[in-house]
Amino acid sequence: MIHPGEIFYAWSTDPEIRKNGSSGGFVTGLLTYLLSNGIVDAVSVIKKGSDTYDASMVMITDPKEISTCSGSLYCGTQVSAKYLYRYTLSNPEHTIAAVVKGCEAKALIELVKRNRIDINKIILIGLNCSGTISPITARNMVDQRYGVDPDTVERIYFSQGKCLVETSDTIYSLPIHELEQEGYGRRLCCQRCLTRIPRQCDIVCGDWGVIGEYTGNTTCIEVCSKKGSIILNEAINDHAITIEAPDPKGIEARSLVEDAMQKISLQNQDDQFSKIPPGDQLLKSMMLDMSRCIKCYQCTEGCPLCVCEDCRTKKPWLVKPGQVPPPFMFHLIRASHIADSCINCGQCEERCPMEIPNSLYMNALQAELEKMFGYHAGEHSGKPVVAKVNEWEEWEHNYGNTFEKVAEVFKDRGDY
Amino acid sequence: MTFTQITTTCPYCSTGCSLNLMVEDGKVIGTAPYYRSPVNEGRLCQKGTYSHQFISNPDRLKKPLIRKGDIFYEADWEAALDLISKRLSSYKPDEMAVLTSARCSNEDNYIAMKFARGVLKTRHLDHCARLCHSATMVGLHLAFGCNAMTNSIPDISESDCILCLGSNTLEQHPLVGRQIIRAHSRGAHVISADPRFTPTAVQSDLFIQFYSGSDVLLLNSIMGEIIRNGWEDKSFISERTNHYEALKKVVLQKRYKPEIAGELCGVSPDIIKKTAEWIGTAERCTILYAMGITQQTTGIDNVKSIANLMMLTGNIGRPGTGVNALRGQNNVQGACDAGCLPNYYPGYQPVTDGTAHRRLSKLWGFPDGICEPREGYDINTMFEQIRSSSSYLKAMYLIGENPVVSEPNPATIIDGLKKLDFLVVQDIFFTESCQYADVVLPAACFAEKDGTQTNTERRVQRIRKAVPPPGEAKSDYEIITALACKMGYRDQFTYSGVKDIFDEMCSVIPQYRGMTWEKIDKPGGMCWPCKEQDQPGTPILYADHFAHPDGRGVFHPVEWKEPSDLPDKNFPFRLTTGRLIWHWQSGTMTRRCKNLNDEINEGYLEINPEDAKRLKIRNNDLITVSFRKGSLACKARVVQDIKKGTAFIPLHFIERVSGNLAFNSSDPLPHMSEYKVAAISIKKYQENKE
Repeated sequence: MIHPGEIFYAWSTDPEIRKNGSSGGFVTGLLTYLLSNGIVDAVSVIKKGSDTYDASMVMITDPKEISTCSGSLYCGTQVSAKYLYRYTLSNPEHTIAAVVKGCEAKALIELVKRNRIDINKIILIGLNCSGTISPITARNMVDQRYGVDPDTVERIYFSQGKCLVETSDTIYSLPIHELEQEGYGRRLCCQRCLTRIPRQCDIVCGDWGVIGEYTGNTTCIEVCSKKGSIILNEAINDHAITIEAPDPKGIEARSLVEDAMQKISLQNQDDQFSKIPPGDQLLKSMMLDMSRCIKCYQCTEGCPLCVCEDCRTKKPWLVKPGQVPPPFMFHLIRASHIADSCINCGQCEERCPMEIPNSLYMNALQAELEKMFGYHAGEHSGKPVVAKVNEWEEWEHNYGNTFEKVAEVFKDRGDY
Repeated sequence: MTFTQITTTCPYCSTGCSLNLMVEDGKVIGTAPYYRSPVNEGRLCQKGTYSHQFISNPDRLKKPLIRKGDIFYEADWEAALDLISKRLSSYKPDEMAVLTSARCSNEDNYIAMKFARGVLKTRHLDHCARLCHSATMVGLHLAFGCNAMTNSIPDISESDCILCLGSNTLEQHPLVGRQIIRAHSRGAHVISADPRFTPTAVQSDLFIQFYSGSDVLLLNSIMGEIIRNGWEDKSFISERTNHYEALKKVVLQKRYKPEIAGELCGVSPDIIKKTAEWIGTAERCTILYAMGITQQTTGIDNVKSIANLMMLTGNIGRPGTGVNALRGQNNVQGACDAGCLPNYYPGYQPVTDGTAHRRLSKLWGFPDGICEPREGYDINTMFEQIRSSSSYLKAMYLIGENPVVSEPNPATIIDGLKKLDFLVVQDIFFTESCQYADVVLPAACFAEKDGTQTNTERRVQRIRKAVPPPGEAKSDYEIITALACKMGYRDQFTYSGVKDIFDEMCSVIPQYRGMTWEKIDKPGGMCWPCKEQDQPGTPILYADHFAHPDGRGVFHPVEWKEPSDLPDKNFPFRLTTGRLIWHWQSGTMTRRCKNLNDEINEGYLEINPEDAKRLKIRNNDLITVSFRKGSLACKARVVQDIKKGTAFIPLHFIERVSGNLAFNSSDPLPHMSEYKVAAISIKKYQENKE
């Protein structure tokens, strides 16, 4: 009997999938099993496009296609949450399995808490993630810092604090922190991410903790939920997956990696947030940066939490339409509605044509609000309060008449 | 119902951003970022974000329409093409004109050009580039030997000093504006010259709020200052240019000294001196320019002056330098490259060049020959001709263009279209110009066909079919091919698909000769020239030599001429026109996109608060705007950002504004109209007038 919290070494029983899939093909094997047996109707994975810098999300309904998507793409910066939401709206009767990074998992949980996605109809397969690099940044980095022709690169990945660039005959290596000091490397939101092992999923997987002869042909998995343990049990009983007890030294190593990454992230967070002036200077700083805004709406379209049908930024008495730059109220509405729930996916910053550090501000605000009110964005527990109070049309739509409960949650419980 | 993502290129401006169209159940339901593109790295402006919203609008043309009297009847393709074929066959070549579309793909344009020159055998062929960058084409050709933007969009961010002259880049080419922001965050100087305090000007370090039409004055003044201070790049000038002495003589004249020129520009001499210093001492300086420079009677002069300034300071051929002419339409560069011009064959070979004419004839193999090797009418001359009493032009084939709204003097266009004996309009919506057609043909939009388009940095990129066209609409190249077959030229149009057209086109355009479908099918496409198969394309031009035979750039000194329509006692305001980020040209597509139209859906005139106060006009008051040759009524918008004595009208709204615009004069050489300077008077609207 498998229980939440247990950790195993796992792989696909199919020798082809074990060989060709990443780290023993556990994820590929499990997804193939779930889809072939009708336990899910579709799976969401990332697929390689034109080259190793080009990743896009696909919804697969044919189990044979799953193995073509094996392997991590370190330039896959997109967040699948909103596309999955759209899919569930068009296919309300479907159950889906989604392979997600930490930010994507958190975004989906927040949508679940807003009654947008039914948790019973989605299986979350989490991946350990040390961060992603924007495609063109990656190409420039390969060209300028590694001195390699970007078109000859077959793989880019991280291992033990290094960024490795692999061509057909050579593996080049440089320390990640050096690259990032020079402006290359991972996106800023990835550098400060505190969710390296997303345990809000049903099962979380990766190669951290895999040592010795298991290296390269085994995935180290952690079962996080009851649903996860049931699914894993079924997959094992139906001979799709094999598990073994993990090497204790491996588990220790995994812990150390996670702790080290957490420490680095906290340091990065500190460094990045300390650049934001405090108090009333924060307002001035935001207004100055946002004076470049052209109201393209990409931050809103990209934000997994911006799903209100009756968006307040479109009310002409709040934000005068047609103005470039838009009145600052536009950004204040965005901040005051979602800041407590910001899950640091970075889309608002990555999609901004004017290089406004939206994610930096939003995540900084969220970090402070978390200290003040104890609401943890992206985790199963709690209700997103600060923002919900502002979206009262949506609140009634999502939660019914529960305003007293909302008011009660507004208890100040932090030291700050 | 699952969804797929199709990567394509945006149909609006010439930045050529890539984006993914989300397709569900045969319908485009949204857009998503394509982070892999080196041009925009996934980012989009609002037009791109919502570019899916007009695609399945119920107004889309779905069947051919034939007019009988005042009514358009739906017809099938057989009947429509039969009618067109019969009518067009009855005219002599010189009696017909073809206007192609800067918004259609390269393949559409190439086939249209082949049809015009090979089937109709007419010399009269043009498209809307006449309205925007024809000054660039002439000016840069004279200066450098080639008429395109010299650098690439990504390398703009490596500049140390950027001058935005006549370009509100953040609003009109937002993803080029991003490169300005990136340069700025690296410490580059950003200078913006504009009569309005535009969003671009807001981000600048130095704002030159000068009078519309005083560009040459400003540029010559800057050049004079640079030479007086010894900041010119002497080695570049001596090794790579000709005619420097002539330029030096002109710009060092007293009339261009900052103290004197500044007065006429409406700018303080200190600002001119500072600009000259920043440009003159920068390691890498680049100039971005657009309609503010070209849409004037002195457009060519303005472009020459910009080229002069960059050659003077050696800012050519390196990243972060160059003359960056920001073109308008998504494929105006491609339409020009494909030779949809009355004076050029594909690849800018003059129509009068006998060798080029023979080569094209031989390749195409029309048994009864092609058009004469003589220049034809451009769009302005076409309409002048049609309206003249002894008009020779009787028929016109108009593709993806709405001249009734986009031309500077709509009344003359309507007059002309009415006078035509036979007019075919091919478009995606029933535009204002369709009203005057004899046959209207339904075309596919950007999301409904495969092909290529070329952006302002000469980058050839893919557009990809995401959904089928509505009803019986077809791609433009399919329609014209079918028509050519009907007219008896099947053998000259034996293409099995769009790739065949691309291959033929590349064999004809020298700058595209080394390109293959596989090579441009990759992320980021390819920048021309690419003349050999193994060449990677050329993002930055003139690294070693210019395109003139001796490899040297040519200085063309220019004396400042006043704009043709200056204010006087009766018409005391200087009107300049332009665009908004929300809408695109005549609004055919964007005014059908909810998220864009909800922001701004009617025209207006911007006026300075002091002027408004004097005229007793408040914000949103209805006003009458009178030109020398007409008038219009619209709302007033009182804004701080515009220079006193100047007014601004956005050009997208026919019912309020463009329908009554009366820009009249034109620059002799490229026949460019003066969109940027017109004298007007402004009064509160009086009910009992009219």
